Amino acid sequence: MTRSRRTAAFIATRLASVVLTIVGATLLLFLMVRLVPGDFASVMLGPRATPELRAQIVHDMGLDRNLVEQLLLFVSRAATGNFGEDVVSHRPILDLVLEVIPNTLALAFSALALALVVGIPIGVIAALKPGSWLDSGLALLSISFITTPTLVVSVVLFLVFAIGLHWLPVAGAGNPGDIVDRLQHLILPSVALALGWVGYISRLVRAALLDTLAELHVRTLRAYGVSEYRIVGLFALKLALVPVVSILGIGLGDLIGSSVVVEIIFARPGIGSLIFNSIAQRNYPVVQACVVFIVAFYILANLVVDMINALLDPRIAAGRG
Amino acid sequence: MAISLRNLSVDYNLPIGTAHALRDVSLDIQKGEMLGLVGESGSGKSTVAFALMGLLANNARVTSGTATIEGRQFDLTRHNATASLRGRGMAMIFQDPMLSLNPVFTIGAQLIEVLRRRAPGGDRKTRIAQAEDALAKVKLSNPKQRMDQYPHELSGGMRQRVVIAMALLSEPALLIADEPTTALDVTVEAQIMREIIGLRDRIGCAVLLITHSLGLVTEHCDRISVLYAGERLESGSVRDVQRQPGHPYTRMLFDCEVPIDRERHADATQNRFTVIAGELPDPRRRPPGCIFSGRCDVSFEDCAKLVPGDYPVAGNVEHGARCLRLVTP
Amino acid sequence: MWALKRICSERDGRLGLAFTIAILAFALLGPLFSPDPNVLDIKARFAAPGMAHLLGTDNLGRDLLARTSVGTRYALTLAVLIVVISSVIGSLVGIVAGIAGGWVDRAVTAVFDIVNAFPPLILAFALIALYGKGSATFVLLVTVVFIPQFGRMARARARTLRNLSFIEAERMLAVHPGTIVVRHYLPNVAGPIIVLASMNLPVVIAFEASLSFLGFGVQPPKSSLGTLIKDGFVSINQSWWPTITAALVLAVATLGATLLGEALRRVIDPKSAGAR
Repeated sequence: MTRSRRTAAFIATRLASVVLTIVGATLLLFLMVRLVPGDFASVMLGPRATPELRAQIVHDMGLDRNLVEQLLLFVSRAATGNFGEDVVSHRPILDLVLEVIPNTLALAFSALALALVVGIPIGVIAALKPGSWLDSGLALLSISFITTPTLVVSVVLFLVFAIGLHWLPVAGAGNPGDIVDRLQHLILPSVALALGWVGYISRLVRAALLDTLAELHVRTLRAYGVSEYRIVGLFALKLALVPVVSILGIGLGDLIGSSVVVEIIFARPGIGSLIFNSIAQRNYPVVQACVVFIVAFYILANLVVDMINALLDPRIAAGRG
Repeated sequence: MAISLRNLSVDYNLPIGTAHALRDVSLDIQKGEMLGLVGESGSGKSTVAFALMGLLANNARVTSGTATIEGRQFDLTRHNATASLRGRGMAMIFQDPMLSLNPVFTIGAQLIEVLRRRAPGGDRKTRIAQAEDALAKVKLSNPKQRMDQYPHELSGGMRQRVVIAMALLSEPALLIADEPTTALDVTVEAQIMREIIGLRDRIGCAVLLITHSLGLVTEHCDRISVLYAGERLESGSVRDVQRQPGHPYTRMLFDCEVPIDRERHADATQNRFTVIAGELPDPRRRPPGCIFSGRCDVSFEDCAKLVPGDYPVAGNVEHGARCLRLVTP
Repeated sequence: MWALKRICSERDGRLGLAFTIAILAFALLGPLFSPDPNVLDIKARFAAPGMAHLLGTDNLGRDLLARTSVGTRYALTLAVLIVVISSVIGSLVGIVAGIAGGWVDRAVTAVFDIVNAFPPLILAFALIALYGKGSATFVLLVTVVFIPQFGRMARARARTLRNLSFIEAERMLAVHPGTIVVRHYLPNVAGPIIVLASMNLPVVIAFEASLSFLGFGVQPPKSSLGTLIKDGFVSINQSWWPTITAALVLAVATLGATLLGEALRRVIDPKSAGAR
């Protein structure tokens, strides 16, 4: 097979497994929700239940039909973006979700970017002089970053900047029109999310680099006089980034989960707070829609990560490596 | 101009003590000449190569040694003494082609990297052309296509050709080939050796061929040096040494090579295998006298007491061996 | 125990052990040094550390040392319980899948993949939201979230083992499959599983704390480190002391558990250690 055909085959198989997983996850979600103890409609409506409302809900959501039909209904509607109407605000649930997603995405990506931009160089520096004081110091720093739970970091950051120094805003996402304001509001939450990952990425980069530098092809480069900086920063790094990129997929999932905590502490609107509040209000359809979005995003993110990996290391697309 | 190495001694700092891997090794290679450095595993032959290139491991120390390459002298005890020659005056071909190339960069990228080092002020187009030309010279089919391919798409023999192309591009005065064919099939071995010889003829460099295979040396090399436990025991032209080995160890090495008879003996017991009994001495403690005396089959009393010097064999100054028998009537 | 000695020989191991012991001591011996955690003393609310209350008091005047100690105890108990249950169940399921192969294996792997398709915190949210709060349910549901990890590891090991010659030999000798499992699979899977469990412990501790902070974990009147942080956070403008105490204890606990886990990993399974 030619290389491009092999890559196409690789992408196709990955896509197929992704679609299957999304379907499976949606199925699971659906089952989870429907199998809630008690009468679904009443549980959902809670104190707002009236016979008329209940009848309407039952009809809208197709609760009077059998389980399989309900599932098909749910999946077909979800695929077209129809998650029904929110009983509280009477707005399409899709709108509710789309309204807050940009905030969470901005948070997740800026945290990721921060973690990469700070973590990779730290890892490279540590790998240039392994065993030195610098290396040990950075190691200690990284490990403390990794092990401190996001909860603790957020709380401490909040404390410092809300109660102590008042340099940065600690609540909300900022005024919609004002880019600078929005960026300012992004700083603390991103740092809180990113800290653990900075530590993790730097350790990973260092370990992967040291492994790569011990491999024989590096010796070939040295034998031909290529400068050490070029070797570490370009040739070894590209190889070393492969395990880092793999981890990022899981990292995104972790980030999305942790973003809930951060969004609550810093009072940021986002899909995390939306889920949280909806759960408190027993607004299950919204919860369902949110989870579908999150799962789809997570899976797609993993797919993208796999693609980037295949780009970095051509052996992966060929089925080896 | 010649390559000459004098008094190279290298120690390794190991957890169990300091191992004297090389002791006072000297060799000479003329331009256009191929010297085969022969020895069993653990004799230190690769260490000679790495010491010359300055690529020794961190726990290695060169305690003495000077190298003269193209008229310039280098003090090998200094770290990275020959660094300036890498990629320009010296080139190396390694043992395992599978592992010698970076798997995530194209062949072209790696060849161009050598060119960048060789001639920093050049443009990319010229470099690409030169790289393709080098690939053609080592007889790789479809050079243009190969440039964009990755190492895992090539076979072992082809990868080794790529490394030879890299050496070609750096136009060295000294080419060091460290067991270049050990990891390859026998059929490919002949082809690769032809390429190395072709390289030598094209550039006129000196070649240091490091191997444990006497067969390769006798077939392709001009001169031979025998290394044992870190010491050079004999050196001379291949013809002289083969005809009349000056050192018992060399003789035993030649005996070990099983002759490929036209008429293979039908009865297996008729095939004689010579085995050299014993083991290499402990590199941390050099025994007194001749280093081979423990395993020698013709040694006498003095061998364990006196360290032999380098004595000419059969009156030939070009052929020397370190054996007391040569000066004992 | 030799494992203990090996751990103590490294700086990280010593630190990890020290931290863990400190936290354990804090959790277990706390009550000896402090008054009853449930006694309210409104007049002394938000007191800074002092003689009467070594770590100060919370919003209702309860002694922080006592409360944090209780909270730590509960948090650790829950975490250990969750890790143990999920590792045991996960290993068994994984081994079965690894040995059985075929559709059983595919089905189990598919289930694992699907569970892993949800970010862990979100999955826990959804489950708890639907099936109720409370400690027992909490342990059960969080266990579900963590089973796939152990299952995957056990399955991988089981598959490698299945092809080893001595297992083949025993199968051919018609040794009872149960015996094979117990005598060969379990011991070989136990090593990596124990390592994974010890490395997951700090993760679970933080996980439980985050969930409790959001109100999804431990419910009052029980308290864990997470709920303490939440209580403190709500009244953070009046005193940051309660929040900081609980947060600090949480940080030290996770750091200690992580270092200890890493040291344990290097001792039990050096091959998986990778480069340092």
